[in-house]
Amino acid sequence: MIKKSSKVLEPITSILLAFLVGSLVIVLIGEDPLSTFRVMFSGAFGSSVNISNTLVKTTTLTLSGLSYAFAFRCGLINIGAEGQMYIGALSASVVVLFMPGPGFLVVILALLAGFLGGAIWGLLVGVLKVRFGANEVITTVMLNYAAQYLIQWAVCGPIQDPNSNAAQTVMFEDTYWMHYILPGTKLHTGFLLMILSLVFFGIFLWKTAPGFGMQIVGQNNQAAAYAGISVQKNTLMAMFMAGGFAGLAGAIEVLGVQHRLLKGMASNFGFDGIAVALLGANHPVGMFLSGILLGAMKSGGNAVQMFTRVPSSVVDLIRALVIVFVLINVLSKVLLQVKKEKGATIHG
Amino acid sequence: MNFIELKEITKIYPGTVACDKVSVGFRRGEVHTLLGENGAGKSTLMNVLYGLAKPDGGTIFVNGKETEIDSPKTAIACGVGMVHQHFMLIPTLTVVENVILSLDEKKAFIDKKRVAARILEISQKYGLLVDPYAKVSSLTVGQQQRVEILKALYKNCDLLVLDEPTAVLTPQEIRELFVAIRNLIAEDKAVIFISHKLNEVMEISKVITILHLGKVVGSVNACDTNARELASMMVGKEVSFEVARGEQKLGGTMLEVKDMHAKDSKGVETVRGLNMQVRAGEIYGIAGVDGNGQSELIRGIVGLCKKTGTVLIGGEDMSKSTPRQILDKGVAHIPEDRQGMGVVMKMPIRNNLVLDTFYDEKFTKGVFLDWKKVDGQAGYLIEHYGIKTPDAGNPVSSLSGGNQQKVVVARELDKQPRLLFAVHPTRGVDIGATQFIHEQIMAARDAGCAVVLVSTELDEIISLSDRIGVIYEGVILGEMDRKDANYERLGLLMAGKRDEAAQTVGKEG
Repeated sequence: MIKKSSKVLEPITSILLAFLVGSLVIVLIGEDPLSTFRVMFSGAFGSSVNISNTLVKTTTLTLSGLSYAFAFRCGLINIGAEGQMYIGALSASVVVLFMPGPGFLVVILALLAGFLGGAIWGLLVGVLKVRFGANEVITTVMLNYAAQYLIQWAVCGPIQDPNSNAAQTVMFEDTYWMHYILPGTKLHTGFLLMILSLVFFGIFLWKTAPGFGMQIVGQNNQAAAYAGISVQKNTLMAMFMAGGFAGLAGAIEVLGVQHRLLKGMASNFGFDGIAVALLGANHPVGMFLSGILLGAMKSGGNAVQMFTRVPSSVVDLIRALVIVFVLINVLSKVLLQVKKEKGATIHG
Repeated sequence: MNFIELKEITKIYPGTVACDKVSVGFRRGEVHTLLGENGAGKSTLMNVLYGLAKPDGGTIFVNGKETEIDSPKTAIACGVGMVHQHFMLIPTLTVVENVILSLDEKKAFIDKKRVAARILEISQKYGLLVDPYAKVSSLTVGQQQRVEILKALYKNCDLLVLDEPTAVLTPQEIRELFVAIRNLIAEDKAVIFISHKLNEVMEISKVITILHLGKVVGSVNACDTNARELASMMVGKEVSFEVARGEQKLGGTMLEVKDMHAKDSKGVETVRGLNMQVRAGEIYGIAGVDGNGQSELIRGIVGLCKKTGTVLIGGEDMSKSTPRQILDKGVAHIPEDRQGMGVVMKMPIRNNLVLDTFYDEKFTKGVFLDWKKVDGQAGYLIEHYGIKTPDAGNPVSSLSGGNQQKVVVARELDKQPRLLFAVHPTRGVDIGATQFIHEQIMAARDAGCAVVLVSTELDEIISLSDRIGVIYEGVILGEMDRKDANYERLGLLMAGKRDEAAQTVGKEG
């Protein structure tokens, strides 16, 4: 039980420490940290509109985190959520722009296309790894650039809004937008899809045989091979799903938030997703909570910028510090382990 | 007089008394063995002696004078040297450089030549030959061990602690080590020898102190005792080395390997046209020095590494099959690298007990795992195989080595396999668990399972096998029935001397 409580305690101490250091910085600027945080909090949760804005950000962030977590549970490091998001957004946009039909059907098809597009982009990484032994960290980063330039080409060429010089498509007709679920706010059905995705992830990991098999691969691929579990198949499957959830995030971002495809729309959501996964310990409930926190800091940061003399980069700083402290926690655990092994001198 | 004497040493760790008023003295000019199962307190005692653990009670006398050893530095100053089981060497540096690193000299410049000369001098004196300018990574395991011993001797130690020094050595290297130990004794040094291997202990020691559950059971002179007596003192109960064999029910050929070739991870061909046959109801022991292709042979057969040639299991050609397809033919496998392959250390014991069976219909409902049934199976195996744990939800890493191996053995044998591969099944496992594992393997054989046993321990091979094949440089160099096996013949074959081995046939071993 000690272990379980420390699992919750560690992220919380990281968050507290980050806010403590953040307070120091705010004091150095000559402002009052408490009132700044109050502004930030009300910016994130002060009204139903603010809460909705936070949860909309949470949706994209958490799905992007889920992408990282899915690969991580199979022992893979997916830095490519950003590129997979772009491809998902592109696939969904193409469906909306070229597929006639009733709104809800097109939206469902667009979401599916987004998932599939991201999944194939992720699968590519899996294939390169299984077939040629290419390190997935390198290939995912490279494919991020490829995806980014592909979008740039698309929105400056074939699917550019003909009436505009901006690198973007036309605004989608509102029948193809994701439904708003809270009257008067921008909270859309994507939020529910995100929760469903997390539930699916939890069930897959802990209730199904393939999920159990994938976790064995993730923790010890030699043992997996020995036990008759194919490391190759699981690598492909995990990268497919990881890419799929990132692609879904991209599709939701265009269908629910931007309502058009535009250059640079997913910038940094992919990397913030890694932060969500790290802080949430790759656990569905943990990632939901950390997604809300990081979403809140994004929307609260805007309020800080507008209503105080503290620059919003201080909020970015606190966000970064949270991650640094989480990593230090992880690192110190690794170091402690090493020390223990060195200290255990005689194994008799 | 004792050079170093430990008196009533007590060390308490939360929940356990690791050493309970342990008194033992070490004299110059003799080898003193500490014998005991894992957890008997040997390691704690040595950590106290080397200043790595602070005792909760008791005193240490050096040359009759009460001395407090609070750090390895003090221990070294008192003349204590320690050779750990896991070497503390930097592979990319040379022998001299490693020795220099271990010195506590605070000088800006160190005369490498002088150090090298002194190393040579010491190594010649004790028969620990090694080139001071050789890179450690280019040395064999036996030579690396010599470097560790040299490091201690360089610092003028008078008492050398050797922690399970023979576990990693070939029979030839063990002989060389023993020569060196005898040289040390002749120079009036004291040696503390820690080992599980009773034959070696009997051969090299003058005095043997047996520890059990943190207490000294007794100290005996090697000339007044025998291996059987030592074993019972060590385990705290009577031990039989004989494994009861049931009547053999020999069946048809279960495994046939024809002209198999396989390479190791470095691309060196280690299995070179190997042929063998194993029948249902027999234990086929593969003896040999480590690294003669055992590893790749078994991994190749079960589909875990690339190979050429033919593998027939129950008459079916499985040469191109995946590990899963092979497992599904009723194959069980106790792998050589328990922690690297046999278990997932951070996963709960429960999960590890179904590591290669969870996808079976018994434990699933469609794609879903039936955790109730998994729990039931885990509970049954823990009880039936005597795995000592308070909770099946604890990670496997919380278990002792012997109990970890029991997890693997329980999982594999409960499948009631037709064909079992047991690779070093008792490596690093204490005597009690060893006996248990041997009984389980024998029970599988009695039930008609074909067993392939790979081991570097000749005792294990001889006591279990019905038929023995000796592997040498990737082929089975010779085969013999149990009744024809003896140490001399097996030893010669293991060294690749087929002709000389042939001359021993018909001669009593």
